[in-house]
Amino acid sequence: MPIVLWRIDNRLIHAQVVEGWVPSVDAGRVVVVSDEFAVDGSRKQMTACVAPEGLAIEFLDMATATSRFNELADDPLNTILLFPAPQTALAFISLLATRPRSINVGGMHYAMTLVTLGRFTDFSTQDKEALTRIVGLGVKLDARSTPWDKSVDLAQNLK
Amino acid sequence: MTNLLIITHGDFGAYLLEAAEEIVGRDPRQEARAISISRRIPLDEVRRRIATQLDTLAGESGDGILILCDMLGGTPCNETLLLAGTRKDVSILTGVNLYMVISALVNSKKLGISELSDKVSRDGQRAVVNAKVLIETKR
Repeated sequence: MPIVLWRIDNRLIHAQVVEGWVPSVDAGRVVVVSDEFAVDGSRKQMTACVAPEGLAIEFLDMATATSRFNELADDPLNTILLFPAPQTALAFISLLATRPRSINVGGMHYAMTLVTLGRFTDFSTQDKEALTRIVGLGVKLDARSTPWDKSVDLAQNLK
Repeated sequence: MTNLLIITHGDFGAYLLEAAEEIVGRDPRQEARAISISRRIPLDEVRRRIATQLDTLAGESGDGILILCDMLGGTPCNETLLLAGTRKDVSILTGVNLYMVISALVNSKKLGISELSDKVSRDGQRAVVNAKVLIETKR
């Protein structure tokens, strides 16, 4: 299935994604799934302008992303699905018939530092609740900023 | 005078100012500031720091603010574009190197924002040279 990476990152498309993940998973397309950003014209325009040549960028609201999911999954072009927050990822997965095997939790920069420090209890209650529910759907939480970081299984630390 | 703001991943920008001070021979911190962005800093805080420095520099008798970021498409540049991308008194250049910082500091009193950003951009691009090849071809 050419959805090669599911990622939660509040910084959306930035250096870690473009320089790290895109070449690592050989992605030709990044799709940001978010009702909020799908209508954020200046963010969309800025992102499109600074993206590397040849990388397709799309901002889709939840409903459009859901209806286009099978088409994206069948497309030969490798796609990264990007969510600004755990809540968005949870909402999207809940709408699908299939589940990803794992989601990369890479943004939420402050939270990621807490992961490094082993202070998982400091995640915000809403984030923790959404992440716990994602785990409950049978999805692994692979916490790391870049492909080169050591993967941390967040599920072990949300209890 | 055009003020200068360097926004980078890590403390790169602060060290560029420190290095430039030794070359231009004066403390540039009156007209130039650096903002470091790391994964430890939440995004809201990043935006707040950029907005605060823009306000401070705009208030300091400036004719404009030249912003130097490290990477096109990186968080420092992305957030700066969203905050100040439409401001006429602000120019944003990426790929900051020491030549660009020096060029900006040396020319900031003489040039307005538009001329200064052209000059700094040209100087920055001229700074990237394959030095060994240059020497071999000139030998």
